[in-house]
Amino acid sequence: MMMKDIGMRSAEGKNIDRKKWLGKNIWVWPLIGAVALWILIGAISGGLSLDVLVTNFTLASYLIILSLGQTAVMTSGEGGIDLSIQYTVALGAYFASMSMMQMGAFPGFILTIAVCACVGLLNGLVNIYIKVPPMITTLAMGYIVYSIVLVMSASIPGTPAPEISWFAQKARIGGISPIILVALGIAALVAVLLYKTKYGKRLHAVGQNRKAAQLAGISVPKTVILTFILSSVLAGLTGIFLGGYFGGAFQDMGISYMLTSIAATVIGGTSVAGGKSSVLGTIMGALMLTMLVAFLNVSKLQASMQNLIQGILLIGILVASVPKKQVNI
Amino acid sequence: MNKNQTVEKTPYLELRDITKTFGHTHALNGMNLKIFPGEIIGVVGPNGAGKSTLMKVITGVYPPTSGEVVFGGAEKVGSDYSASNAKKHGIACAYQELSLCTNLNAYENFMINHMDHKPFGQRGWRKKAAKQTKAYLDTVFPNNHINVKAPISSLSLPQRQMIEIAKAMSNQNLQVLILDEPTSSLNGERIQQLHNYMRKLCEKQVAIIYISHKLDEIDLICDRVSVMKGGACVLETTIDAISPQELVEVMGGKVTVSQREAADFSGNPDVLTIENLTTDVLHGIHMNIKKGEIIGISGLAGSGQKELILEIFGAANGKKNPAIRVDTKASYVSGDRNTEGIFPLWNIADNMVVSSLEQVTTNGFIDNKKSGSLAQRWYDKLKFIANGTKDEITSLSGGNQQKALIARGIAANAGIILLNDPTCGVDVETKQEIYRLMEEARRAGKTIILHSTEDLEMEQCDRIYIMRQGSIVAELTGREISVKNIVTASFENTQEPSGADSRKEESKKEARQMSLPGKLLRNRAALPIITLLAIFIINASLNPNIVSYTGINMLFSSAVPLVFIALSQMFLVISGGIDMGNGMAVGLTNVIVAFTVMNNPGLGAGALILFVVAYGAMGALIYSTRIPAIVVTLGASYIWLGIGLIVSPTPGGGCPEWLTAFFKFQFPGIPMPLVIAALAGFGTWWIVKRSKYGMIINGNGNNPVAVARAGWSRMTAVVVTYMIAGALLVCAGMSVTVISIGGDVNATATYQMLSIATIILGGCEFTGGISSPVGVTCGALAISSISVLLTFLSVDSNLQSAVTGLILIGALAIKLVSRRKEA
Repeated sequence: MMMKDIGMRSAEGKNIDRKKWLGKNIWVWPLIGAVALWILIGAISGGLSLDVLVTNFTLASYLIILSLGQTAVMTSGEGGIDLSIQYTVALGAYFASMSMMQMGAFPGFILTIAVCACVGLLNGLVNIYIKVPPMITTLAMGYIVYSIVLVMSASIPGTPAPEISWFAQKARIGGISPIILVALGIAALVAVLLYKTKYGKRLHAVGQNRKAAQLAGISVPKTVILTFILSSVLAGLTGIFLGGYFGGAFQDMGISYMLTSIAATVIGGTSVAGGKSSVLGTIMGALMLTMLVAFLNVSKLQASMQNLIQGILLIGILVASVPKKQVNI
Repeated sequence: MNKNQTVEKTPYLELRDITKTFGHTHALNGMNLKIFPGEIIGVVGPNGAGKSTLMKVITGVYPPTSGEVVFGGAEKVGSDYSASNAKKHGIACAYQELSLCTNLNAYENFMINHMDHKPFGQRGWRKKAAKQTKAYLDTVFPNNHINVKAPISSLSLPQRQMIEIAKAMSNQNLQVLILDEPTSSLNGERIQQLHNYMRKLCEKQVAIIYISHKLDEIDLICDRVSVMKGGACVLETTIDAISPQELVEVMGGKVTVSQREAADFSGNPDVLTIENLTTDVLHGIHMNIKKGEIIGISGLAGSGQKELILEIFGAANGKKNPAIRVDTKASYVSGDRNTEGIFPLWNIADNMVVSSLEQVTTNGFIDNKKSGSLAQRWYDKLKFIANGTKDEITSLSGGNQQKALIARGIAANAGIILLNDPTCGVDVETKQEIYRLMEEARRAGKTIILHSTEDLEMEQCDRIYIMRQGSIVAELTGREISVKNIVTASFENTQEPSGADSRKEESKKEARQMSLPGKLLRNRAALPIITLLAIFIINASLNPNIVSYTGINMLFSSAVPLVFIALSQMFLVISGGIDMGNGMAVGLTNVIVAFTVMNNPGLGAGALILFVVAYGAMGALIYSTRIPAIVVTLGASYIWLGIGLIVSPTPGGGCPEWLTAFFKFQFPGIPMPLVIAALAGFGTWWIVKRSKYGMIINGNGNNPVAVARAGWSRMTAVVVTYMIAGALLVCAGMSVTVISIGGDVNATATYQMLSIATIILGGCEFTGGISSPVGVTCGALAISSISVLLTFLSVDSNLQSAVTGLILIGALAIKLVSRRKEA
């Protein structure tokens, strides 16, 4: 205590502080990973390129928006996970293409968001009041949403509204696609929501100990349901823009994003057990995973090696970054 | 038994100056205790005195920070004392929180403790074990009517407690038996039986440590008593030399509580009225509380005080209750910090402010300045022993953590403050602080309802309701309030329920042992079996050709892979994880069979064995790093895919002849796919429900701490579980090879989600180690035959997922309805 006051610090003290800081700022790991991959890409393609960074950030933006919802749900604890987002993405894309054409861009957009919010509402209601674990709830709900998507896809071509198409493909602000700004803007909003509002504080309490949260006067049902709604809204939003990016909706458009949203969230430092989240970490995680795919593509390695490296890196960064708990008998 | 002689004898076990610290907290502070063979020593003390920690030190769960554990006056053990060491010395413990695996039955719980650690049991061990366990239970608790073959989850709490006690007592080589609050849910008759058996054990020179807050029992059964406070023994004496009332006073300590002037509250408005509140635990509660009063709820612990307080909390915070009228919010402060209080990932400030968020927001956002100053205000008021409000709450001692919780409760904008043993584990000076705060809160217009096991701190109340067995039996007002009167009133009014009544209480759950059809329907496999039959019947009605040997063969031949994959998922789920990569894993085993085994059987076999080992290694990684299985298996899925692509970059290969011959074998009467499914189901059923190590795997998925305390290695259990899962995936790969006559590593990805859906339909739960191999097998058959059905109905194959989802929802709805009926 005295030494600290005088301002002197032992080497050991500095080491412990550094470890503590790293433990609290896990997002550093995926950032290092992303930068390392960018450098590797540069090494292979003959020079560091800002273009590569921008392209990948554009791609990652969709994953970021989606993963933020997953981050929130995971923070609510007790096995919080949303397996329905992959289908809600497709729902958003199809519904938007239909509603925006019929009602005009803005009303259609709002209606799509509202419809996706209902998916989240149902997830929350089933989880809380029918007491079905989140994994099962969202899995079952996902199947229902998928069947709605299948029915819709039969009669709706899924072409995105021209505004969305233009936004996702052609628009440029300062040379970069505005989707990056949208993603960062949404990330900022979610960060404010999670860290600067009563809801966010309560969410983190609920994720740590639901019983203590309830006894501290927090409405656990309200908090959890709002979180599922947030996740589905973000999934729908992703779907709307993704439809624009791909130039059309298709049934399985969200499938590959589901597992990566979980990976991005966990790598970024959000705890699977709940109660601890990192918006910055999720952004870095999404960026790193996107860079990884880009690197593997550029490397022209065989598909087999690409997958192997992807898996080993994923597990490796988890082992390195996720804080290990003591084995308590 | 001549008690005077014990002073001369050598203690079997002696704790000398034991200290146990966790960070800042001194849970034990120079604890001394002598245990003599053949005697019963009671250990009493207020909450937080260190009794549980002491018990964990004696059983070797926590090595002492300093001090010695001495056996027979000679053998000294220090910080290298361990659980197996304790077991060797014949120490056994019946835990307050019950160390039972609820998914197993009574005799299995006994066996986990008693059996040797060889992987396989001798023939007929279950029958023998059941008999022995039943016999032992009957010796300790005659007429218990406990079904030792029924899962613990189906037994009532008194029955579970009896099993927990008998389990500890039945240790061969028993020398020291620790009973931690053994009678918390037992009635008079059972308590007597317990005490009788305890005396029998004493005659065999077993020493018994009896931890209880029920001082009347301590008085009855113990020879000596040790009073603990603040982690040390403050008084040790023979039971004859002290009365229960004096014990209470010793536990209370030298706190000065201002005797409150008898104040007149009749002019104040009502703040809480309770009329005839009756629940499971409470009977006909009537209460009327005026604003500004400090109301105490007292009586011997376990009389329903906490339940009453929680009912008030619920009613004040939105839960509709016709018996309770309250017009203000209530905040709740609990002495059970870890379960009901602290948020372990947060710092002190966040923990204090969490109930006062409305007060610290500006324009809808949390104002750091307001929040910081609120926290600082309370921090200074309560004189924390820490570096500041930003310290992690877990770095504080129990007493300081309690201060944070009390600050939280008082800072919240609630008209009623409910305190449930709020000074648990708090030192004397801090208690004074807290009493001052309570008085301050009262003057600020709040009403306080206080329940405490320390009768001395009840003296600051205006009125005290004494509770006994769920009812209010007395009320003390003003001058009547004194520790003496509280204690007297608590001990009086003893109405033991008659034997018949209590027997009814015990067998409340057993009454549901119903007729055979009812029992069958309640089985977890019932739903998937019915689903399977329903789908089959629908299929058959559309296409009668199905009901033939070739028909069934065709219907279920494509089901075999899902059967194996779902069973594999089931094993992972039992161990508490989930497999997100089994789709790719099957792709890998598929191509290994289609290419490697085809061309070089020896190499192929080696590769498959290596795969199983790799799955076990993955399990070891998951357990040792504590990284959730969901993400590790997700990462592994890429690895399986990668290796699969190395084996065969493009689909192709073929199917080994012997494998095809096996699958296409014309089994008499029953088509081969069904035979294989049945074998898989039966094999896994045997492993999970009949085998000895399967019992350990199940127990590990439910209560790993209890199983580990019995000496079983958790790592081994996890690795074995994952290897079984891997082996099942090998079988799945083989069956895929037969069906596709080749290998394609990318073709099996969809099985992953289907496997999750299958185990849900099959009756497995994601926690608690609850599974049904038969259910999962039938579920897999059912879900697979959906696609065939849909083809007949000319339904788009895309809709398969939709139908699967709907069936899943239907299954959950049925489960919900049946759960509601049971409750």
